[in-house]
Amino acid sequence: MSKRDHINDEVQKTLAAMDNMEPLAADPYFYTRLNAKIQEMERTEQPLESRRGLLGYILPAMLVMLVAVNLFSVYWVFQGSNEGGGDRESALSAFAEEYSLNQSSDSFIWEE
Amino acid sequence: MGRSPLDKELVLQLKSGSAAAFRTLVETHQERVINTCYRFLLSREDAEDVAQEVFLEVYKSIRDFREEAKLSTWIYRIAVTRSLDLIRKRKRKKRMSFLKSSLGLEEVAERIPASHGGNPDSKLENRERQQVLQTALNSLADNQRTAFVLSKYEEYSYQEIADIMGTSLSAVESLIHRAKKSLQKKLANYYEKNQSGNKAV
Repeated sequence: MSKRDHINDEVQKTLAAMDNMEPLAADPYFYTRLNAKIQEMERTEQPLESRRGLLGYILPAMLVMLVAVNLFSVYWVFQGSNEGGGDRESALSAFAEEYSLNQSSDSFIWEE
Repeated sequence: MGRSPLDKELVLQLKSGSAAAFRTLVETHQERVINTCYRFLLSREDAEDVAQEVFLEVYKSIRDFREEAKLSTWIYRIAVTRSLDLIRKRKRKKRMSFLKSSLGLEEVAERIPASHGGNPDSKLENRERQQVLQTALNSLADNQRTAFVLSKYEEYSYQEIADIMGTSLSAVESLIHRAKKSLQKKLANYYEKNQSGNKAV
């Protein structure tokens, strides 16, 4: 057999090496092992899942509340500005009086 | 893609969380999954470990299974993907250990399998040939390797391989043809360089 023929023979034999692979039989405990892994997985993932579930409710609720508060504030501010200067002025002076904002800083400090 | 009513019923039961249905599924497909993985990995232990991961993934994501393919096709597709993932992981690890060894940080722990040459035991010889073939397969593109390896498992028809790979029958035939051509070239080079049969690919 020439060198070329020998190489071709080797190549063909190697290419056919997977043709005669004997099929593997599954381990009789394959399902038992798998079942144990599933149970382990569920045991470790359950607290995480429940936490995720809780966060899943809390986060959207907080987001909705935040948006509602912001909307209410915007509405309140615009409503106040539309109602005319009178009420607004009186509200501002009442606010200033309440917090002694009309007094000079010195009198505010030394009054008490 | 034709799905039998039995398949549909099984999927329904699996989606409702039936343990008996899951056991039936595992017992029906475990051998084919293990043998599919084995043809990629050439190690019984690795094949069984990957097969376990395959069924774990099936268990976890059965609710997301959209029934666009047959249940078995979906399972074997996961088996192929997981096997290729492990091979890629090993390749990366090998590259890293080679890098470390060339930097003098660590010895190469794993060498490419070397031929023992002329052993009379035909089983051992076949095993060596499988390893030489495996090393040559490692240099092919994933789709060529997948088509070639699955075609070597008589349980799969070319149509099933096409379904698993999500491609056409003609594409599979072309991939297998190209894989064979490429492997022939690589193996011829290998045997030319290693006439004595004592060196690695």
